[in-house]
Amino acid sequence: MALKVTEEQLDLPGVPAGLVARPLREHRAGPEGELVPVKTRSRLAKLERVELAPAEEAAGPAALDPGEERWILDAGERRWPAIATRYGDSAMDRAAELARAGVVRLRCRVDDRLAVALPPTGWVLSDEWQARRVDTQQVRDLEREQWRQRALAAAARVESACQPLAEALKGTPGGSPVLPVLVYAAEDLADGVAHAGPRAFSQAHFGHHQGTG
Amino acid sequence: MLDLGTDAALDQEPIAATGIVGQRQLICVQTFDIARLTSHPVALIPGSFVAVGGQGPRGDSNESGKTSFLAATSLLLGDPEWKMNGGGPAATASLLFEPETAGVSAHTYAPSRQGYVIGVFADPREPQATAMTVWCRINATAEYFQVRYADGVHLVRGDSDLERHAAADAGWAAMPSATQLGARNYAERLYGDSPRCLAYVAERGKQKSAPSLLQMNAGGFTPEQIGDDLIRLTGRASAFENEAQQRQRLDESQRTLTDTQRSHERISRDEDDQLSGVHARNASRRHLAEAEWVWHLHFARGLLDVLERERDLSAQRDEANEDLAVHADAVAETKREIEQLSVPDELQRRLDDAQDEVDRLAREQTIAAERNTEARHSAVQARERMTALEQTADGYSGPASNEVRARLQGAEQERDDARELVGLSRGRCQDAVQRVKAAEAGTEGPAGELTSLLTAAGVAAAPLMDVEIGSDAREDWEPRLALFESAVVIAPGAMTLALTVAEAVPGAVLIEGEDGELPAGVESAPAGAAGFLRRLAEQTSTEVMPERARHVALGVTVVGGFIDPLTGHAVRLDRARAALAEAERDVEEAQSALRLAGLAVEAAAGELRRAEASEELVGAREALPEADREAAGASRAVAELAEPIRAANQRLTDAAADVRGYENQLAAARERLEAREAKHTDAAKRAKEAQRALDSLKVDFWRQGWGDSVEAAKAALAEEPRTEKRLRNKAAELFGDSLAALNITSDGDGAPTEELRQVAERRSQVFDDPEPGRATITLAQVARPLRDFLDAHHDQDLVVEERIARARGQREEELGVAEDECGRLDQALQTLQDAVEQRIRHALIAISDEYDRLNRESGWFGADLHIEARRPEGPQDRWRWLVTPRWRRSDGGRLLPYDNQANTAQKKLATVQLVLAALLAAPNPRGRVLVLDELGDSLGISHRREVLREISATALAKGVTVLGTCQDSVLADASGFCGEIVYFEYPSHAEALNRPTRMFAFDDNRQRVELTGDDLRDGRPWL
Repeated sequence: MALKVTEEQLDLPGVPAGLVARPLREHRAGPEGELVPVKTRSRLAKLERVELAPAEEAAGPAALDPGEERWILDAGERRWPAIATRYGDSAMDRAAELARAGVVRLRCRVDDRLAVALPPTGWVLSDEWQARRVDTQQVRDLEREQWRQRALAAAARVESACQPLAEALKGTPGGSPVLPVLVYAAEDLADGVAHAGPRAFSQAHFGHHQGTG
Repeated sequence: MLDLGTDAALDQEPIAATGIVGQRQLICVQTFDIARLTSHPVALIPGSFVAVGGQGPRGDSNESGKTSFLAATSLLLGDPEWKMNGGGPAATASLLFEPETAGVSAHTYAPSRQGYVIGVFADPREPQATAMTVWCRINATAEYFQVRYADGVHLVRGDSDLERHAAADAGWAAMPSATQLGARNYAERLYGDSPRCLAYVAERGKQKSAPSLLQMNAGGFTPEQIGDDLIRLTGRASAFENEAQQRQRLDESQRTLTDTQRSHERISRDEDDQLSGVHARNASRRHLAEAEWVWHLHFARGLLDVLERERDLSAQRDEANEDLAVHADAVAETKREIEQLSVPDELQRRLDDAQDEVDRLAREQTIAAERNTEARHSAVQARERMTALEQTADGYSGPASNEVRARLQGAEQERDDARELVGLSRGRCQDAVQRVKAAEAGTEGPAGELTSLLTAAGVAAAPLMDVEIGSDAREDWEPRLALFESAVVIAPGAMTLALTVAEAVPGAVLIEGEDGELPAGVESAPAGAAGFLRRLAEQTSTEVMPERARHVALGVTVVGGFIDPLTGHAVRLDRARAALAEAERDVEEAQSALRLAGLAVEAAAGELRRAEASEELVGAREALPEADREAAGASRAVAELAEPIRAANQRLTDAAADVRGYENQLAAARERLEAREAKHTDAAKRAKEAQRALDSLKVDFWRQGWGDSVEAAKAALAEEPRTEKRLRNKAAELFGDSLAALNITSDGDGAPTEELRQVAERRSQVFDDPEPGRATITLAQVARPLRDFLDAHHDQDLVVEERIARARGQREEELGVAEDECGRLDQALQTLQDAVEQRIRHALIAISDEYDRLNRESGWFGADLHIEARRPEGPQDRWRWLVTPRWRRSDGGRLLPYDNQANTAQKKLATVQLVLAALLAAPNPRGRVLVLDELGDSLGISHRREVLREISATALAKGVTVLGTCQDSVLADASGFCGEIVYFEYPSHAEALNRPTRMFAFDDNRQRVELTGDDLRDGRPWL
């Protein structure tokens, strides 16, 4: 079974301003893998869950700081406890803003009075942001792979001079924030570059930052 | 878009469903000026069955005040049956203390103008932290009902009832006014959208309760009402509101769409009208442009044609002039030949003489032929006459004709006599027939005629001679009656009228009728004749030798001896028939004599003819030879004329042939002359016509019309096979189409302007075959007003077309949006209706399952709810849920509906089970209060205990508080099941108020007990 949002727009009580509710219906895999709606015994359409999203186009780009954007893009969907943990008392307002901005679609249940129950049960990224998440992931994977290759090359260069450093370069995962430090250190060692201290090393390789950025 | 997981949050219930009070439970009630109730707080053990009993002045529980307490409590809890959206608010005033209702003197106690019902609610898990108090203020006048609430316990304290009453108003004032609610919204705001309280009480104040789930007896509560109540219990009624709003929106959207469509159609019609004008002008422009081009081509074709024609005509003219000269010479020669021919006089005289001789001989021949014919005819006639006479005479050798003629005259006389005799016999026979008919009708003779006359006038009468006389009395009676053969007997009493009738019959004999016995010898007689007959017998004597009758008084003697009977109807009829037979025989004999006389006449006549023919034949035989001789002479005279005539004819023929030869020569010469003159004339005519045609070619006209070189004309017509006339006709047709596109008829009707009307009228001047001498007019000249008209509209038409196309596109877009909106709303409505039905049906099925379970646990055989949903169709319609509780009366039996025949206890138990099932299946049951009045009514001990057990179990299972009033007999049973007994006591009508309400219970929730403990002890020093 899978949940799939339909194109219907419902005017239900409780929907935050600027958003509309679209039913989420259970679908099952058809004979050729396609999704077909699951019929109830009574042939009545179920209305238990809805997604809240802008009616047509998003209100405008969301104002996101890089950290929040990274957190959002880290997961294609998030449950409400995680969202509430991040945003605290303003979770509902922020979630509605993100939905209006077209970043996420809020998933809610519909109560017995056919009102949208808030807070939502969670959210899923919008299609646009889901695509952005995939792109970001690919860039990160590519960067990791590049660091891995660079680390292996540096390890070969310092293997005779500093065996522990070479082992560390080989054993550190590509996504680790430690790996660039090791790579720069190994390359400096192989090239005979010396820095006045850790701060100078950091200034030389990371500018104002201390990490992969 | 996909989510393979489930949501833990699904189990969370929205706060709004249970209102501000939420799932807190009612733990204490305090009333002020409510009926006879005191202001002592009454603690309730929530989530249990609370038995409410009491004792009134008569020793039983009646008038103890328990119903008033329950009504006040139901009001506090927003019982929907108070109908606070209708007349409920005013009805709440009936809860206030009213001395006459309380049974005390109104002089001693004043009626209350206002009162309070105060409830304390708390969550059992944290009573202290969650306690809140609700105050309901009831006024005797508007505004009847107000509510305030606040966190914490806000009961009115005081050592005495008086003190507490004094502090009540201050207590109300101390409640935050910002929380004040009105009658219409307090229940929903405090308790949410499902009823917090279900009260099945006989009355609320003075307001009688309508049939309800617990009082469905006799089908008074319909399946639809049951459905409504159960749905309200489930708290899902508000789902209908969303659906109804959606329906309303859909209806509005559809109406908007319809309006838009109608507007679109109306505007489109207007635009079509405009476009039809534009299209007409465009079509007119196309046709006119084509007409102008074809018209131009017709000049080219005309130019080429006239140039070619000019060449041909010149050649024809020259040839005709040459022929003219040749034929003029021939004519002159022929005229000379004719002058040389002349008729000779001798030839003419010979011809005339021959003709005269022929004429004369012809006349003589005619006369001779006529004579010959007459002579031969006379001879033939003489021979024929002789033959006829011989045939008629036939060898006659009898007497001379004079003698035979005399005999014929004698035979004819005899025949005439016989014919006369036949006529006389027939006359007599007809008279006899008439007499038989009269005898048959009884109207024969004078007596019969008179009788007939009288009868027709309405007088009963009969001929006297109808009397029947015995055969042996004839000799006496016939002489007596002979004098009265014409007499008529008048019925008794009718003589006066009879005389009036007989006045016109002179000689009528009337006998006045008199009934009586008939005299001897008379066998029968007409009515009334008896008296006359008796007197006749008395006044006459009969004698014999000869037989006679003597009228003594008159001295008259009548001789008898009649051969046939004289009287009686049958006798007279027989006599008439015999006479008729004799007359008929006479007729036959006369006719036979007539036939014989006729034969004799014929024989005499034949003999006379033969005699006369024989005598004439002699003369005829002597005249025949003379006639033959005359015929022969005439024939010879004719024959003698044959040769002279032949000779004269030959001479005439010869002379005529000579004349015809001369005339033939002359005629031939004249024919030649005529032929040559005709050729000359024809040549002259051809020359003249060719010249005239050349003169009428108007080459300059075509050249100017074309306005270009001959080579250009040939080039333009390279692919154009049509003639000048067809091109001109085509141009005319196109020009007509151009006008017709503007609905302008050929006579100018429909033209928008006078100029265009004139264009139509002048159209024929352009295209008709040009008449000689008439100035040729061009298409451009005639069509100029039309061209000007079309040019003047050209830009405007472009603008109109573009504007309409743009507007239509815009409207189609708007219509599409509206249709999409309708489709979206319709789809959404379908989804909502499905969801509504699914939720309601699910809730009702849950109740049905609980209902079945309770029923079976009671030792019965199963129950269910038969559910039928009917969706609303229009925006103003409502959902109809027909819910029919059914249960089996026996194991394996059929599920029978609630309104089927059943004993009262079964029905009561079944209805209680239904309410309990609804509570068991309802969401958020905790905190609800069920008020059941007269709980044990109509139940035996077994059923009563069963009900009490189920109520108690349900209360414990769902945290529902059940307040059930119990009569004394029930209270003892209830004590075994209940969690608390609340006891009201009104000892005497001498008292205005009850005694403080007593409570018997154990509450293991210490915090809850302590929450209101001090308040309960106030005024109850024994606690």
